[in-house]
Amino acid sequence: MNESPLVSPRDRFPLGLPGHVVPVSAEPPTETGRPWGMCHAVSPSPVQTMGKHEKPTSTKSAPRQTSYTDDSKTRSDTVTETVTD
Amino acid sequence: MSEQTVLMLAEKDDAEAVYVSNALDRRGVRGAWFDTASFPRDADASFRVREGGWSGEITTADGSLRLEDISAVYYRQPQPFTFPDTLSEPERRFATVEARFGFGGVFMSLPVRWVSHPGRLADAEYRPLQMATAARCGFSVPMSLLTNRPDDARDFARAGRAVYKATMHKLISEDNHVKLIYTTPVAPSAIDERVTTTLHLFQSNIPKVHDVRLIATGGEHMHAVAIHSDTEAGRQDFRAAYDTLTYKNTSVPPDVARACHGYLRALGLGLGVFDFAVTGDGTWWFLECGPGSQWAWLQEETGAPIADAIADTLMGVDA
Repeated sequence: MNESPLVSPRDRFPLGLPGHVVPVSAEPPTETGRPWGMCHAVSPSPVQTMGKHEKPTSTKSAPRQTSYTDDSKTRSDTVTETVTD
Repeated sequence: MSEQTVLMLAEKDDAEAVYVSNALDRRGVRGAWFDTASFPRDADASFRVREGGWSGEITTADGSLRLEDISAVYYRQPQPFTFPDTLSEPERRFATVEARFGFGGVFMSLPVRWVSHPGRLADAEYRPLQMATAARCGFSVPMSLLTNRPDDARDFARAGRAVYKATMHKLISEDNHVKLIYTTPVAPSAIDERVTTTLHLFQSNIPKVHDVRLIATGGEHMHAVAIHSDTEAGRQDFRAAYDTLTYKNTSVPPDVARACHGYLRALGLGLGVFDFAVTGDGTWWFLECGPGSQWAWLQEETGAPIADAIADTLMGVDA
């Protein structure tokens, strides 16, 4: 899902999502088999506004159209973008 | 005005890129922006390959830029190309891939300085590679375990204070909510069979006094900022408590400085944003190095001349 125009780790190592840009999903967590680490995600802490050169870390929603492959079918979706560095 | 021109591959209002562009301007160097999101709506390009490689020009709303005039490239999270909404999904995907590999191939073929080269950036995003490179370069790296074996994870957590970190996928979106994975303390009893689902990264919880974010360049410039928090949450992960943080420029131990430069050389990077946990005995523990991480807010908070260091590196001026 990383649409960075010139580089994507997916090009070299087909291991899946870079994890900084993910589809907005309404799917709830599953009862079994859910990766243990995902249960440690929490709501983002508020980010102090610092003027023009702000945001050490931010989470923003981007209603940008994209698509993903689901069982060989391409479906439309939107993405949420975040900068978590 | 200098003969040098730096291609700024960045979003127009990107804080880090604006700082670097201003620093280049102060040095009489042209910073020529190409916001990839403006292509093809507000930009066009035409290139030809000749004996010496690719030549040609890009024209944007700001003017034209000849490839032959580029002396360096500053690459800072350029944004996706923007195609007309009328395109179908296959059409949009085709246009995206052709533009990406077209521009990408032309830019990466240029015999110029990069901060940092996209190929090196891609490699350097892999945290296990970062950790191994750091260990080889002489950093103190916390004991770490990457596993999908619950028993190994429990043993690791029992052996001392442990935390869980996402290797890469820090953002979770499900159930119509967006969440982040911060550095999270882990009790052995909390580890269960769901660890088997995928690899999980556990690390010793370093009893740090404060954090340091250090910005080092391939030109051997270096600035370090100590990040203090008066809360437990902020000390555990400063991203979780920004409103509690205070910042102060700090000196860098010589062995850490040497290791930083060695790390950048090993991974071929023009810039590294290192995060350290500093303990009471003065040890700087390597946590990670984001090859494209943010530093503008630290320059704003402390006045550290980070953008000047990057501008000098783009100009080939070493520290």
